[in-house]
This record gives sequence, structure tokens and C-alpha cells, in this order.
Amino acid sequence: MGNIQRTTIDIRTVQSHADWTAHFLSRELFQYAEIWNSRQFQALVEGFNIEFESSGLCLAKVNVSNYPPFVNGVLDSYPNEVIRRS
Amino acid sequence: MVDDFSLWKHGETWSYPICAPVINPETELRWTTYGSLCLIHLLTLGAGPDPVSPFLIYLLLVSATKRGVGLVDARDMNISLQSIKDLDQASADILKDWMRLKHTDNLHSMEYTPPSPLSTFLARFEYQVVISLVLFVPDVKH
Repeated sequence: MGNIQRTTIDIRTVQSHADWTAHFLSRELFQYAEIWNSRQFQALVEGFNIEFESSGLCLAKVNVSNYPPFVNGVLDSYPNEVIRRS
Repeated sequence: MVDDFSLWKHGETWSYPICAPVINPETELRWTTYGSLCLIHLLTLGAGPDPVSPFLIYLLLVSATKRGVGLVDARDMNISLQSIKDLDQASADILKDWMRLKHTDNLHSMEYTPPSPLSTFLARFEYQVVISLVLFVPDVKH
């Protein structure tokens, strides 16, 4: 500990202040994980399959055959207006 | 969903995914399912699935709008301090000092005692900062 305080890091040598802000922020918020590079996040993105209709509606596209059994009853409790099942 | 302590960790305010380096297909499917549940909750109730981190939902929405364009990265997390404060006061307290740094300041200025929340944060971050430099330096624009 403490090496960072003895090491002078000139922010001018990095790409942009905003990049660094975002970098530190994301790690703090996500407990230091590079979440967007993780398979967990990629899997979440796959499930977060939103479809934007031309009418302005947003639908969740779900492939119900792929989901584990514990979720079947949960999905049934949501209205069809927001779910497009396949 | 977040009661699964093998997959979620719980901060002071919000819950976050545990990013293990390797996951099996069953766990990956579970994450996909969680992604769908988060989206359905959002669309049905018009609110995030508390206590899942709203920053995670934000990133998922960014990913959804960028689908096919490219994966999200750190720059997509470049949101205002006020927005962070609205959602997570503790994180905003740490990051406000960082955001006050001028572009020409250096992290050496964080050596002051008593340590600030930011200097403590940076000290904990020592290893990652070195990695960040390695990653970022080749892209330096002079």
C-alpha cells in the first residue's frame, strides 16, 4: 500500500480525463470488476433482449424454452403486453 | 434473484454481479435469465429491479441500444456526478474529489494527510492503476 501515493501519474499522459473518470467510477460501482468484459455481463445482455417497436412500444423478447424451470411461473405472472415469447 | 449469494454481492446500497473468471453453462444461462427478468421488471413497472444496481441496468440499456454496434466499455459509464449522487451517495462522496482534479493535476496530489476518501480509494486501487496505464498508454494522443 502507498506506492500509488509515491508514484506520480500525470493525467496528461492518458487518453482523456473522462476515460479515467469512467474507469475509476465503473470499478468503484462494480466492486472493481471490469464487468463489461465478463461473461456474466454478456449473458445478462443476451437476456436483456429489448425490442423497440416502431410504435414506440418496448418489448422483452424471451426464449422461454431456454430458461431454467424456476423462472417459468415468474414469466407467466407478467402481462403479454411487455413480453414477446418465442 | 439477488438472494443467490454465489452470484450476487451486496454493497451498502445496491447489489452487483460477482464476476468470476470462469462460469459454467448453467450459470451463464442463469445470468441470461436474470437479464430477462430485469428487463421485464423494468418494462412492467417502469422502475429498476431494486436492489439490483441501477448502474448495471444503465449499462444493460446502453448495451441494448448499441446492440450490433459494439460492446459497452468504460466510456459508457461516464455519467455526471450529480446522477451518481442521486443514485449512490457513498460512491459520489468518494468520486467527487477525483472529478475535481484538473486535467493537468497528478495523483501525487492525493498524498495529503489525513487521507481523503479518494486517496484511500486510489491506494486500494494500486494494482489496477498500473494495469490501466499499460492499457491506456499506447492510445495516448499527443
